[in-house]
Amino acid sequence: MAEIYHIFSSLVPPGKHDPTIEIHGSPITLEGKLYGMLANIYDKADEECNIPIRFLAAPNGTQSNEVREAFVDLVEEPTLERVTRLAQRLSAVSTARSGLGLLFVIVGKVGNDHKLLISRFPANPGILAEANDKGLSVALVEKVFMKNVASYKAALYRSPLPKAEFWNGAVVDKQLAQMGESAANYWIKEFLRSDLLTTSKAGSRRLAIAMKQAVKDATSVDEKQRLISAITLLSGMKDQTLTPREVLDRFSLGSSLRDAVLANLPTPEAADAAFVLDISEFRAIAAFRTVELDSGGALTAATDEFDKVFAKEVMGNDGTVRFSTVGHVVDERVKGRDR
Amino acid sequence: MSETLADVYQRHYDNILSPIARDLAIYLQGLMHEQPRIDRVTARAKSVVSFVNKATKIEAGKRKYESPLLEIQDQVAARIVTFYLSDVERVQQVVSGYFGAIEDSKREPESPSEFSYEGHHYVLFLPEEALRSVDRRLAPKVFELQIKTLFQHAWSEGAHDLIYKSLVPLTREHLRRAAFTAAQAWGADRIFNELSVELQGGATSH
Repeated sequence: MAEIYHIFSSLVPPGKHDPTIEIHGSPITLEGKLYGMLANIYDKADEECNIPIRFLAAPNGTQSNEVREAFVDLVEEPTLERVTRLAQRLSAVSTARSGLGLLFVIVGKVGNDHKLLISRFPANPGILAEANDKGLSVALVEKVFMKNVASYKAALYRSPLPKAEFWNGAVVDKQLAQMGESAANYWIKEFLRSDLLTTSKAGSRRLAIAMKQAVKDATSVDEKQRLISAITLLSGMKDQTLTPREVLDRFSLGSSLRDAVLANLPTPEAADAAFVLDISEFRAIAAFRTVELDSGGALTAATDEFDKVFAKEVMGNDGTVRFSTVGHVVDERVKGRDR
Repeated sequence: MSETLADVYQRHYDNILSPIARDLAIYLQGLMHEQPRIDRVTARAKSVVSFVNKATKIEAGKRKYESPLLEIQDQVAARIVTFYLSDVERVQQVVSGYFGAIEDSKREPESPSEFSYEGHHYVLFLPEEALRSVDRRLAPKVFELQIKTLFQHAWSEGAHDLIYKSLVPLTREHLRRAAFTAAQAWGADRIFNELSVELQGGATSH
């Protein structure tokens, strides 16, 4: 059960192009409805913050990151002054497009773990309707802060020893999936001076190995072809931020094929580790070569194994070739004409 | 009877660190598979004796580590040994692509007239591939990776017990002789690298 020790809030106007903007903040009383709502968010953060991230080392390569250090200080001694400095940092990277935000910093513990949650609620216009003795009063309110909108963001850090372990955390960034890397630039890269825990190459290689192995393991031609189609179509997701599970869901591969790919990831957690797809890296591992002959035959195999699977013999000067292979028939399919 | 630090670490070594080191070595070897002029890729779990010695270190009158299992970053360490200096740079590029680093530093003597240990050190996040056989909640988050040339590796192995872990006070003469061997390794690395560039086109050749 989580215990909350401190909650601070700060109004964060976009200040990227106006460094003179003043920041105002306040501690939040640990009781009442607002506290109840924030405590609920704090409790659910472990489930909701599901994108693993890591702080970056200093440009000179040393183990130093000013945001990480600010977070460790906040956990060790939470003060409004420290939260205001953090809000100033967020303001300095917020553009007019990011808009006005409300920053909440919640410090507490779960068991032996110190737990720090940083969240930003975007401002949205809303309508305030109140019944009074004259009937109904309706007014537009411009500074309404809501969690359930597309640009809600949060970052979560947990450890029994923050000064040693607060090198990685997890975020929820509802813009990330919709906008690709640009949202990550603002919240993850600029504000948190962090990056996705899984690098583009590592994530792309991991997904490629899992999909390629699933093709090998598939027992029917139909399953193999559906997976190979997904591998081919993945080029369309180049440079997008995604997780292996999202990729498989987008191709609607069905639960058995999806599970077959996920089973070939090194850990269950790898299924939800976001990364930016590096299509060259992916293709270097998972590419399939198909050769079609004018005889009506077609041959398909993993690119790096094609020449081992099919022996090629040149039959004459006119380009005639013979391909041959030896194996057991594991599946056979007759494809009819689509109606 | 309460468990000693050595007992706790021994269990950690057997159940967590050794499987991680094994799987990390396999992962790194896979990444380096197509890289030319790699002499070896290894990974190990820190020995019990070495861990306990480090964990109980006293600095300024008190224990350096409050919680050694969380703080000591080289409980798992890997090493990639290359033939030539230019190969180190190429391997660094591969490593940067696949791992997140919290430290990335070239280790060399500060003074230009000093010769001693050299190598490139990283502290990197453990990849999922290294966590496949263990309870990740008990696993360290990071590991140390050293990239060295054959000569840097040979010198550090030779000097480790004799100089770095010496049980007797080292004289000026001892240090001068150790520095002489380091200077020879430094020179040999440069000459081999020059020859590799002149005769094989350097780092770009496979």
